[in-house]
Amino acid sequence: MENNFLFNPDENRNYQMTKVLDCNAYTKKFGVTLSEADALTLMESRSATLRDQQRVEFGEGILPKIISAFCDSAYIYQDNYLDMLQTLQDIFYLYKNESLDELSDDELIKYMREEFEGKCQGSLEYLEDTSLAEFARAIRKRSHGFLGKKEEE
Amino acid sequence: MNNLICRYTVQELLPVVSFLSEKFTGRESTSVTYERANQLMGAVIYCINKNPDAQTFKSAQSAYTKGYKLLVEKVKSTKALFEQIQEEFISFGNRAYYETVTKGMPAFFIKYDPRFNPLNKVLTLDYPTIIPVHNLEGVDAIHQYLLYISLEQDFLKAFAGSDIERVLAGYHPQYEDLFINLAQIIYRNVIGCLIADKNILDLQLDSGDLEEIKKFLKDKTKSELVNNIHVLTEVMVKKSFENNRDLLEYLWADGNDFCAEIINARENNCLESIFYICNN
Repeated sequence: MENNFLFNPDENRNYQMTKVLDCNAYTKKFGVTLSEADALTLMESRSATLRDQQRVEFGEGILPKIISAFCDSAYIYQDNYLDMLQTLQDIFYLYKNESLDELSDDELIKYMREEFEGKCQGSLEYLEDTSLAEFARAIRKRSHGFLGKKEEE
Repeated sequence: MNNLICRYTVQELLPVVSFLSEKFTGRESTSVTYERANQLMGAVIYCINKNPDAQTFKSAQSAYTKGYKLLVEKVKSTKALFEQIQEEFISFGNRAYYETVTKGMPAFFIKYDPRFNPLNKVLTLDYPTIIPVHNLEGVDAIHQYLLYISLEQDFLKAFAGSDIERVLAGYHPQYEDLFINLAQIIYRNVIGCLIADKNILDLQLDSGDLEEIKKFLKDKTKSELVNNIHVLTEVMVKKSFENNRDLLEYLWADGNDFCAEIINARENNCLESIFYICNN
């Protein structure tokens, strides 16, 4: 509750940018870093994705977690780093919705990372359209979120 | 949710919504859907509005915390009211009445979520009260509904169960399966008894009484009828129900409709569709 400044849109953006840029200290040993312009692009992309996916985000956002999970990937290097992060962020919010919010952020990121490195071999298309689609279907199938379904069982 | 008004700005409310969102997700998700955020914002405003002196609080968070406590207190008092009603509740064979009160209400107290979804009434409240509670939300609706049910029970229990069932069967042979308000039907027959100068506790009207009622209604305008029936209702409440003003107000909520129906029945010569004649 102390972080009331986070609810001022400009201050919130600055705070999140700082958090994203702070990740450079950790990611530079893997040969990937973000410039301020990159961080701003990611912030804008985040706002657009949240709007598209009809979600509201509080706090520092998901990007620092995505960065720390994917920065050491064999398929990510400086040239594709920004594009990859943008797409991973889009995929993340899409599948938060597709999994009916039954997964925590950490669970979803962990699964994304495992599939990206394994079956997908660095293909974001495969990750989005095949791996995560199957995963989300499986989650929806056993979801108890719908009351009627729970009572039937 | 859209009807909720709050003295705090969205900027002031957002930290409270964020706090509630963290609680809801157990800090396992940084984002929630629009629907969920809308629900949580509704919960915050609902709790703040529970405070009669919300404007005296320094922040929306402290107003919310106090309001939440008041909400929990209201749930407790509503449960106590329900338990009191449940002890001597009689449904007179009407299934909707029985199921709404006896089965629905306990489910409400199990499923109601004052923290994250206090606006949800949980129940569809199939048994219709004379004054609807659709304009109220959450526990406010249930509390008001139970107050009306309590008034109805006080009213109905003044009569013998067999007499009530006889009048209801006169209204419709399958009254048990209908979604009707029992007190309204009995009240109308009580007024019939008063017009015909019969003992209201017997709830007995015969064809001679119907003639008396017709004489009473002859040439009366709607406003005259409204006045007369209001006076009769007052007399009934004063004499038989210890001048319970809440009961008067509750029953009289049906007054205008009742008078319109009487005038319609008078014009179509079918008063027996309102005042049920006993054939034995």
